[in-house]
Amino acid sequence: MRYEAPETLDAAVALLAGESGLAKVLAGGTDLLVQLRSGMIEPALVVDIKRIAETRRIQEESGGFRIGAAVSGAEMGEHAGLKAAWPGVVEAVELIGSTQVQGRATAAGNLCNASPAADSVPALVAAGATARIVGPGGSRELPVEAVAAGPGRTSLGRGEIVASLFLPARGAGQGDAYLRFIPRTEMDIAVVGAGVCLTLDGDGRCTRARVALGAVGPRVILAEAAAAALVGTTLDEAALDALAEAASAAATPIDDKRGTADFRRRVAGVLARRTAVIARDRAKGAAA
Amino acid sequence: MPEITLTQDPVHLRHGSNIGRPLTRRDGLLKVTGAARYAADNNPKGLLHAVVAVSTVARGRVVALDVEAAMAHPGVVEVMTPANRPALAGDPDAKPNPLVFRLDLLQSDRVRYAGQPIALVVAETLEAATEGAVLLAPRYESEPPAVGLDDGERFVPTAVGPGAPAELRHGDVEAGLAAAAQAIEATYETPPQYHNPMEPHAVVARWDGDRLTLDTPSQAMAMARLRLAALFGIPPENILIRSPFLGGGFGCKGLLSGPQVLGVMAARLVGRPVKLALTRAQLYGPVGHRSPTRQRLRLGADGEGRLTALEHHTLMSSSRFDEFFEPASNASHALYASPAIATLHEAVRLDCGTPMFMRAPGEAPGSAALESAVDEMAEACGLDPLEFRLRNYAEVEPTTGRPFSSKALRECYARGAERFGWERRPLAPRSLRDEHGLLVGWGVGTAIFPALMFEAEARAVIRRDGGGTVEIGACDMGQGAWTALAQIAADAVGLDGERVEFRSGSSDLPDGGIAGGSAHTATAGSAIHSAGAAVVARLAELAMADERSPLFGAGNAGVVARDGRLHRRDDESRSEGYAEILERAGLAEVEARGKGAMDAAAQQRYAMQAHGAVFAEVKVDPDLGQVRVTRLVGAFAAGRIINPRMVVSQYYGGMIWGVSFALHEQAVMDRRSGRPMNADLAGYHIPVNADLPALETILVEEEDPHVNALGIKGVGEIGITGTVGAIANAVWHATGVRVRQFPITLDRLLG
Amino acid sequence: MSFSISLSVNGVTREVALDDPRVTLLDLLRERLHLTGSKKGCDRGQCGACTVLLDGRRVNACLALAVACDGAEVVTIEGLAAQDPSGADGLHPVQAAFIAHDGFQCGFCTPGQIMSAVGLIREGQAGDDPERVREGMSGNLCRCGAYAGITEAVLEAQRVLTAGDAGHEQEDAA
Repeated sequence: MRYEAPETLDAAVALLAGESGLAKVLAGGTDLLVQLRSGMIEPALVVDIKRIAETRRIQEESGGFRIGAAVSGAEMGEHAGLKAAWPGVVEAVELIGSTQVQGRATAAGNLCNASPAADSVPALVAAGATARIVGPGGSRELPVEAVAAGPGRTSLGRGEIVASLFLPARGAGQGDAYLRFIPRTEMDIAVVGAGVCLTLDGDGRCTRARVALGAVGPRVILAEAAAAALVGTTLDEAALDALAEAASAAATPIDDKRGTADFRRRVAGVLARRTAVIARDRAKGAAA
Repeated sequence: MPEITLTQDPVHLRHGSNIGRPLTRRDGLLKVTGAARYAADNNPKGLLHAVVAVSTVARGRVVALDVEAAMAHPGVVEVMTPANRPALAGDPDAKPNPLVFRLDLLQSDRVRYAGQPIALVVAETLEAATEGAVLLAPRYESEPPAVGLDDGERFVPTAVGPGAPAELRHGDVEAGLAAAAQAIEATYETPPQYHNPMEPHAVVARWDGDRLTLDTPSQAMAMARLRLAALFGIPPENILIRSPFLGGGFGCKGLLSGPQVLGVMAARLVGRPVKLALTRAQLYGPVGHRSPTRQRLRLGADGEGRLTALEHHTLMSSSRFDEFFEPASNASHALYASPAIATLHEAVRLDCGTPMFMRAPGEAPGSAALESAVDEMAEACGLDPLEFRLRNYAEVEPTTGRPFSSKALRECYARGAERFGWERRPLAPRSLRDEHGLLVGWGVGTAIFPALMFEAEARAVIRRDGGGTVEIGACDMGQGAWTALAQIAADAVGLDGERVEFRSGSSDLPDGGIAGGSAHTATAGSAIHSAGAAVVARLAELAMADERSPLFGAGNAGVVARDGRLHRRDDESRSEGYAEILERAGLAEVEARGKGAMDAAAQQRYAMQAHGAVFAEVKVDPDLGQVRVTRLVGAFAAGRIINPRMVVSQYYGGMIWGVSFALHEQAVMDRRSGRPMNADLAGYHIPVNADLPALETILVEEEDPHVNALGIKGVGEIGITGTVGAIANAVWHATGVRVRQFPITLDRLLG
Repeated sequence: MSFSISLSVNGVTREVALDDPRVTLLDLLRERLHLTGSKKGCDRGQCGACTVLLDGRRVNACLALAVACDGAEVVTIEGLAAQDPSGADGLHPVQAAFIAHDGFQCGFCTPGQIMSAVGLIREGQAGDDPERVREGMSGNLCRCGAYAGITEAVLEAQRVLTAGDAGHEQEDAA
């Protein structure tokens, strides 16, 4: 196994593109190290991107935030502006493993690991985040929901890496939230995760909503019908019931050792509802 | 030997007896500075690293191993397989007695469980050995494994646990059930569980001719030494085992495991010191587990809520090639009074590693089922579960009629209930909610664990400088032996704790017996007590025979040892210091040995059990089924308490194991491969700090003149018993749903 | 392929040649530098027994490649007391509190628990709220079940350390 720690994105891309064997990007390493140590993967090349300055920064851009791919969850949590604008995203990132893991783990890595249960992804999807992909052919922006292609697989081409994530400017009357459900109190993988981002007008009526569900399908689900159940309502009980029903219907979970499919469908509804209530309260705070 | 320094905490300043003081741990300083040396922390010169390769199939044969590829990897020194392993003098499959378990030491290409060692790679670095093991790329011929309790043919084992009868019948259960006003029948299931000590088994072994030194965690060094001596054909005295600290044991380090021996074999093969540390995943196979159980209970009660019959039947498993049978039904022997009691066991053989003693073997799963069933019976009778337990209080051991050597269970119930606020509990389930709308439930369980003793020996020395030394090859796996036994030692030789050098944790000391069965403090403590008494007696003989001593002629009145002096019992003003007595006798020191073992006559006459009562509060999210234990109160009576600080920690630890048993831990077996699907600490859940509620324990005073000279019962395991049932009963009380499958998971709760 | 890295461990600069890029920080500490206080309980970031401070932040040493720690500052349990020996017996206040509150039994998870507690207190997020402390310490498993003592120890150490900080600030102001 070859280890490289280039100092520019171009150099990283060149290394990755030039490797004929399995090449992996190392950001926080909290997933990659486990895969390496358990023999799940035997890469020929590991490219550590932590020495590339632009992957280490959180920058304000067009009123939003560009988060470098090697920024740790802990660093996101310490960024007051980011936390104020996107509390749901930051809370989701802070649910990845223990505090020790958050000291290393990155949101971009969580995204690229392409686990259906990744905690940060439903929150990022709900927030309408995009990923900047840099590769041999240049740079492009992709909605985060298009990055994962299936469990453990991404849509990235050879030599491409996620250089940063972008969270747009938080609009007036907008609020986001993420909740997950785990059997243990801490330190667990989501059995179901729900991210909700919504916008309220001056009358408290929902004008825009995005609802994303994790761990209930092969990839994170953008539940459009669930979002539609909220738009035009004041998130009254009837609207929340409709949301829960639509979220349960959108979920396509499997039975596994962490819970039955029926149970997960039911929880997806309950969780979407509770998440929407938090997002609503945050949106009201934002509108005020 | 580690150097144990007393921490200068003020609680070490004592006034009077050492026993009973809540001293902080004597090994505390070492443990909080990283200086406590566990087996894998040893790095002798010339050390090689070994990595074990384990089978991924559960039943079959290894047909190919790419030894060449592994050997070709830079840094790899040797690959040990059945083809080249060192010859053994003893057969690893021999079974001279039930406490010798068959080991997998590369004796053939046969695979008898998933996770079985099939080869060992030895290399200059850990990384090279790890890569070498991957390069072995084993291929197998495999057969479908038997994985679950329904996969095998049932039989009645000849014995369960460490030699108890598989069946016991007292009175007529069928007649009792027929005569009952109310009867219930319920079946409970418990999953396979793995010990998962924080420290994976490790060994650092080196040979010097036919002398062997090894650093390895052991709950029973003398037994381990005998096993190694038999396997390698060398005298036990040639073997030195150092086990000053165990990173948790819980039973899986009680008897030597196969991988520990493999490390020794590898060191012999390569002629250099070898370190072998298992990975977390490798603990799911060759080092034991708790068998799954299916327990059927049938209970009957009369119109007054008094039991007329109690039948407890357990189905469990052992491996296909060896025998350990979880004695779960025996939890019903001594707890509730009933004119008819039957405890029965059946077993099946599965393609798994051999199950092993695991913290409260038998009692933990047995109590989980019994305490649940007793609650179901109370409900059928319309009685408060605590009132029902009191109505069925066993004044004598129900199956034998023997009196208890001591039993303060009534006080445990009363004090626990008062502390918990039990009297405010509504009878009907699903009738309490908290301010957030969560369902609240309260449950109780009775705790019981036998007061056992094994055998141990100790040596005590009193020196002319007025100090003393006490030696015993005892084991501290976290229970506090370094501290509690030193307290007993100080009192035994009549000295202040700081004046006694306490040596332990090594096999070249007198046999401290096994740290298991909650019997170590009682057994090793008794040995120390009697060694101390013997050495004091020798000193007294010297003094009483010497005209110049103020103790001359004390004779029948005798003397008492305190603060480094002997005092005449009939006139305490007449005394003499140890130093003066030895000085005058011209002796540098006196020494004596003493033994600890159960008093067989007392054992015949009395039933000996520790007891307790555990009260649990749970909160359940009605939409998600999420269960949180929010309060646990345990009141326990276990004879004399040597060090209350450490005993409270033991009770907490046991109660947390109870929470884990009730709500978290289980190995989920893959029926096709026979492998656990969650062989790591992310998938095999044990509670994290945030899962734990406010815990409280009450130490109920109990004097027991019969169990042993010190009046000690055990405290290490009782905390699990009672707790599991209390939580299950609280979940029922919160929700009205009785889950009979452990752990109680959300989907089971929501149906 | 071999690498040379330089890192500070407990204030001492160590130059290390690595023959394999897969060596983790934990294995570097334990097997090559023979600093065996940090423990290997799972090697997967699931138990926290290997927690150290890496550039001031608590991390699992088993999840960091040693080669990626070139230029880093590492503090392990062996070097903790030297950082602040104001506790009993010249210990760091967190270490002293663990002894006083019996925050361990077998002791194997203890170095990780203590380093994690030091990190938690520095993060300043938990304050004197037992719930937040339990949450913040949940990356450190303890199979013996010493959680009650651990939580009490962290709370006490937090009190001692913040009182100390306040004292220093006053001195600075004066």
